[in-house]
Amino acid sequence: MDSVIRGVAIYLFLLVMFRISGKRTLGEMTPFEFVLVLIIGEASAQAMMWDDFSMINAFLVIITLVGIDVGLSLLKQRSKRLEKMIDSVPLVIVENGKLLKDRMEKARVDEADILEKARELQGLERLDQIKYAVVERSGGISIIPKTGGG
Amino acid sequence: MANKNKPAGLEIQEDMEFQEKEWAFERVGRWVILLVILAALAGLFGWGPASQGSNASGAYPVWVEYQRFARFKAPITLTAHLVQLPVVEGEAVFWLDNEYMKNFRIYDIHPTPDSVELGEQHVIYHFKIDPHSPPDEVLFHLQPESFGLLRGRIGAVGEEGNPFSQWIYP
Repeated sequence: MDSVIRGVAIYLFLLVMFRISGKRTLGEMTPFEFVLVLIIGEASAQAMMWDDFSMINAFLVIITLVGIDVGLSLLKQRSKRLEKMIDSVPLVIVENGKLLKDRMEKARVDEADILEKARELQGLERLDQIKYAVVERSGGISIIPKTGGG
Repeated sequence: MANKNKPAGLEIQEDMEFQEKEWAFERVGRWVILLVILAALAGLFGWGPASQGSNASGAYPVWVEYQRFARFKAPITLTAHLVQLPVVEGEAVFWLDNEYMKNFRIYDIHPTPDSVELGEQHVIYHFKIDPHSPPDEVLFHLQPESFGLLRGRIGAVGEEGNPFSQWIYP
């Protein structure tokens, strides 16, 4: 019983923590943030396993985590509200080459991030070549170029 | 450009009302994180200034220093102070609640007791005392094996116990 409770508690705690940290945290990780995620994984594993390193305990924890994940994905299909709460919503940050500064600030995205993605994904050179830039639910930035060149 | 208004050709499930709530949640969350870190530094989740407890009192000959807040399976030290404990026939004797001690794995008792006696309610520790340099404290290195509020008592034989309590986080 305790393995399941630990799995559920850690899953929910991490879900809340990553929602607080914002979608950009996981969407665009620096090498240091990647190391941080590994450390978080290690700390979570210790909390979930306690000092019981039996295979059954590992199976129970894994089954619990996968079970909650599948269960939540099924619930998300039924409830758009729950889906938004867990996965967030996309956010337009550039519209017809114009930066939506207030949104960018709150989403912790700057112009350099957008231009970097524009170069990387679409080979664009300037902001005015971008029709839309969107911070996706995953935290990544997608770029839609203006058609017919800039 | 056909339509300059926002979602013109862009099929997107943007929801600014929800997004604003999400940002508000993130802001509150950041404050909660800060408060938790400060509380942890203060010792509300384990070792730290707010966690240092003692039940020293003139009314009891033996008292303990303990952690008010500790965590399940995380080692702690309970320091029993014996300065005012009467030495009878070269022996200092005190007891701890049996029910309290059942919640811990005992890693070490320093100095090692000469003998340990198990009573119905108490675990009684006997220490041979060197009259020239009597020890003034005994350290119990413990690991909590249960969590919640634990109430203990420490006392001299034949006397009422000196109470203390600890909160053990899961």
